[in-house]
Amino acid sequence: MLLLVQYVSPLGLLSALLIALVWAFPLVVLTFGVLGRLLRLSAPERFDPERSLLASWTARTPGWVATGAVALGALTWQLRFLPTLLMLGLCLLALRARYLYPDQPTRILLVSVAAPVAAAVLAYALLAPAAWTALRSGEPATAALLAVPPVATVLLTGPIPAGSARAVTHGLAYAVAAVLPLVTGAVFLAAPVLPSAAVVVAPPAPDGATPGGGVEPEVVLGALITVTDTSTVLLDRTASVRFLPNGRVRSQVLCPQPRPVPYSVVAVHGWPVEETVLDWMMLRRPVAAPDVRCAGRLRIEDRSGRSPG
Amino acid sequence: MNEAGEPRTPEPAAGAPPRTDRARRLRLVSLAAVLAVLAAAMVPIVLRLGPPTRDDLMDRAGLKGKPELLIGAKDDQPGVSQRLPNDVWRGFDVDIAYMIAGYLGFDRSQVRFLPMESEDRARRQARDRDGFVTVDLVIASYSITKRREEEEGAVFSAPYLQTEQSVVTLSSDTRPVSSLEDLADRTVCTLTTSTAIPRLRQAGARPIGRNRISDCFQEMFDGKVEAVTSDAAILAGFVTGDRPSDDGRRFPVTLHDVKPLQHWDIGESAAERWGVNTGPNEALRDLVDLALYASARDPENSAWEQAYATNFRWQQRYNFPQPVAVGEQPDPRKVEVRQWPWERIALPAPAYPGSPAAPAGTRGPAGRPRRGRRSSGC
Repeated sequence: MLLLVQYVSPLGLLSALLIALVWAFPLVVLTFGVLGRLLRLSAPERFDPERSLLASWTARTPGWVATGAVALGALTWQLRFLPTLLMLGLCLLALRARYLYPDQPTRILLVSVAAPVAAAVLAYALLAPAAWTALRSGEPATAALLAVPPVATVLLTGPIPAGSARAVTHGLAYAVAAVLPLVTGAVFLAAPVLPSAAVVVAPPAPDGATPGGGVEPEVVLGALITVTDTSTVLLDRTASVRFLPNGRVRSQVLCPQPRPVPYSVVAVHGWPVEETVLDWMMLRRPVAAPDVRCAGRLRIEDRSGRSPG
Repeated sequence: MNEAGEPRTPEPAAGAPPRTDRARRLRLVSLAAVLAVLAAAMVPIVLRLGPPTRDDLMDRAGLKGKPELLIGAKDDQPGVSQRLPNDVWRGFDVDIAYMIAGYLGFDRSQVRFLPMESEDRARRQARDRDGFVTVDLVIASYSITKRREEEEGAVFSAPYLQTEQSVVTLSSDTRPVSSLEDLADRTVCTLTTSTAIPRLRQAGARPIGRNRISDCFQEMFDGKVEAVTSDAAILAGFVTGDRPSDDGRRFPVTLHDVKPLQHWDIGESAAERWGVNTGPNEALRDLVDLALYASARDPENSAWEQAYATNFRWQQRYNFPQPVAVGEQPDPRKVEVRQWPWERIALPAPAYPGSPAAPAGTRGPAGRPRRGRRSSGC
């Protein structure tokens, strides 16, 4: 562990953290924003920024933060979560309009009924075939994520009973606050920090013989920690750190990080539901065959004992 | 806009008309329902429930980082699996082994065949220099039977060949054989592990068992036994002998006093379906099944057809009236794996070179319908 701390740059660690968890920011802002505004609209007498963290958050968060969160979510959330993002965004807008303009029924009707209905119609026009495919392919979770939020938006753009508003909103806020660190922690711990590499190492030389004479070299797979003057330091697949003498290293190659293969087979007009907008724009397939050393096998030139050119 | 400075003009909560109350209650119920549905939908996503990827299977099967694949095969069966004097292996089982190894990411130079006796196939023990080693896969004309799975501990993949039991006698022996009963009072040689032995006894024959089918043939050439029974695909290579294939290739004959043979269709035996014994590792079995599935379902993958044409099809003319083996790959088992969209469209072809397009007509005469009775267990 100390070795890792010594060699992994703090900037790299921070970057990995930000890249891995950038999706969590919109989730936090929008969820707490909706819950806070729901409380303010449903039970204004219990909306006390001095005593409630949720109320304080809602009162102090500027509108542009929510707008930015929606934009960031649109870029970094997977397609299957975009209907939920749409639901959160429209709910936020409607709850805000009801609070700010209670005496403008046309405006309220427009924002809390017409806009969600229009959005739902548009969403179903786009998502209905994919939701149907998901149902037929045995993916009810994907179908629910695509089909439920648009219609839910129409139902959820107003206040709830005042008596239960505080319990409901605070209970949900606590639940999100409790679960989110677990999920983000799991995602962050799985995020790669070190590059994967395969190093071909000649076996130790017997006295007076040339290194590796007669015995096949070994391919060591793992995460490359660093290369010093004397050794190549590698965290191997059994999670032990190996110091490979540079004199015995025949060749090495960086291996591509395996991207997670999608669980869902559903796509919306060619856009797989597990891809974000950014992924989709950069969706790429491997163009070259992976290096055999990354599968732990020797190349013919490594086997024949030639040094890399 | 900072909403702290927004005007506070809340809707009156108390004294709201009953219609508003109903709407609020409806919203609360809707909120609960929507949250319940979304939370339930998130569970499989957060827990990452779903089938494994091919890479996961490779990891679980212990193939990541494995320098070579050890395959146990018979070394004395021309056409099926034969080790030539120059240590080159040739035959249908060998080609299937290369096809599976290619799918697992091993090229031909990373596959090592080890000779194996019939009785060692369940335990996957093969001779290697001075001792025995456990091989990764057994591809040794190994028929799938319940007894082998349940009592001997073999774990079979989906079948890769379907054949049936048959009988071979010397051509000079003019007595026709159309059933096992015709072998009454004759000495018949078969493999020790064959379940045909009790049936031969039942038919009034005198069965003897040998570890290697080539020993049976040698004893027949030496006049010690009068017939040999086993799977047709195994016997066919001996009947074909050193007669030439379409491209002039011949099986090297290592037996002595070789005589012409006659292949007999005994017409009552069960379908023999050969499978790969993958051992207890389920991930490895799934990978082998994936390889067989790719070979059966991918129209661009003609490795199986090529193996059949190279090893069996041309032998048919020397083995009438007995069909050598069914000329189509048996139905594979579908294994669910997670794949990239582009992989779902086209199954990956074997990695090793040598799966050219099937020549015209390789799917020639379909085999006889499966009769599904007892098994000779070869």
